[in-house]
Amino acid sequence: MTPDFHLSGATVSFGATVALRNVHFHLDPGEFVVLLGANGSGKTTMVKTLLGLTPLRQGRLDVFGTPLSKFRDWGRIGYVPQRASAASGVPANAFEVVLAGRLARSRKWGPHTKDDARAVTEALELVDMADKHKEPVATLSGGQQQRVLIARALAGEPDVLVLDEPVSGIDLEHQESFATTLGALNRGGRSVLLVAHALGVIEPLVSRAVVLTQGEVTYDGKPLHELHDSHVHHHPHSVEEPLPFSNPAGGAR
Amino acid sequence: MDFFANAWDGLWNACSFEFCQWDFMRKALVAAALVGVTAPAIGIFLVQRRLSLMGDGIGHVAFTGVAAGFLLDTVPLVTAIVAAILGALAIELMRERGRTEGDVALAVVFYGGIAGGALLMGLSGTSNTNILTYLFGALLTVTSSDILAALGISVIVLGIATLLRRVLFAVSYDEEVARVSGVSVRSLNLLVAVAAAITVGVTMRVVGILLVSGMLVLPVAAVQQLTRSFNATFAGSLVLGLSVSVAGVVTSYYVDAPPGATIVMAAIVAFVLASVFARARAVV
Repeated sequence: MTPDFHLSGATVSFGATVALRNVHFHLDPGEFVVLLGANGSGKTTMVKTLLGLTPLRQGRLDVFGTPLSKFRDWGRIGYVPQRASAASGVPANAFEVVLAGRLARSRKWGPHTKDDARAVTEALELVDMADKHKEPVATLSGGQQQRVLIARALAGEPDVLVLDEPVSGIDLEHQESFATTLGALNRGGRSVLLVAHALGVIEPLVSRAVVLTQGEVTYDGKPLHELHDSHVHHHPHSVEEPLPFSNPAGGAR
Repeated sequence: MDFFANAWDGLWNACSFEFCQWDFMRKALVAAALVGVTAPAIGIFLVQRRLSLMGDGIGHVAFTGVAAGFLLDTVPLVTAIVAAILGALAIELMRERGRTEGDVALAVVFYGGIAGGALLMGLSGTSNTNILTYLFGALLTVTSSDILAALGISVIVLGIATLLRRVLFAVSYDEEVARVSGVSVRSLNLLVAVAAAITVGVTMRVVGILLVSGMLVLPVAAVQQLTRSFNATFAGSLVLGLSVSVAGVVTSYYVDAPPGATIVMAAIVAFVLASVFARARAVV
């Protein structure tokens, strides 16, 4: 079975700071993996490395069995970046934002096709936002904006979803409905890689947990209950983030 | 050519306003209309990326290009566009390297452009009057070949902005997600930079280097206060850009003021009205 992502011996550095050190990681088809770690432990760097956004200094990355430099089938990946808001300089409605996620599977020029419109509508339906497709994203609530960004990732009809701290800043009620949506997507056959501060509401969905500590994988296995909070949160000297973890709910970043 | 000349005269003779009878006003109106509809079509992507002042940076570099044109005794519009393209590419490449660095680099481009222009103007012995026509525009001296150049550039820029709108939106909305969609983000950013540069080149002729950025940005800034989607903002900005350009030229005829100034003032009036209307709507 070819893994969706296969990372071996990965080292990533920014100037003199080593962000990832000799990391081995794989995501198999249909898996639901949560990537845990304190602020500054390298979670976001790892996600960006897997997506080819951050270059490897050492190591090797295969995406769907193809070395990254030769990989072209971007429609198979849906990415939800860590982001506080979906609003931008110029107003854009939910349909337009989600349509931007369709580019990997559609032509790059001219107006969108009927097939693109169908995929966008289906993606918005999956996150229960179809009735809001004409709403400017800036006027939506935080949770609704998050769902629009997830729909954007789904519009390319991906095989794997990569989400970077999608529940940060969302209240508990919306976190639960988000978990339900994600569970349904995973049961529908998509693999999921989700970055989180703590397991929280997604715990029942997770098939494997990976813990990063100062750029190294310190745990890779079943989602143990201890990972809930204590394990991940108290780290004496994390590299980039000397702040105390004052928000045990894992809300703020 | 006779056919076109007759058609041109015939159309304008049908216009009953006094200003339509003057050849310089006819040319000025057409040039301003072309620029008015083109500038916001590329400006919207700069506003979207929160790079509203990029047009200014490009304009400052274009000033050096104008001066180089005088020094080399060639057409200043051509050297201005070449300099603007080089400046735009420099700004874009510096921006890519990171925010703080890019900010300082932009300042270097701004002041380098003006200082370089002043230096070359001095060396070439260009008169102050000539310099002023480039700083504040010289719409009333537009020639037929200026109009053809503006037409060509309008077609190219509007073509890019219309045909590639979805992908340019995606890139300016979220570069990283666009890259993960397999979009060549860098080449599209450079394309926008070059399109902005050639737009600045022709816009400069109409409103002047110091007001160029206003034509790129103000129609978008006004319209986006009232719109709910990117496509509506795009269409609305083009219509508003066209309207303020024509209104500005006509106003300048009656009040005997420089058209560059009246066009940009008309855009600012539209911006203020849009703000007031948006506030009023929010209260109701």
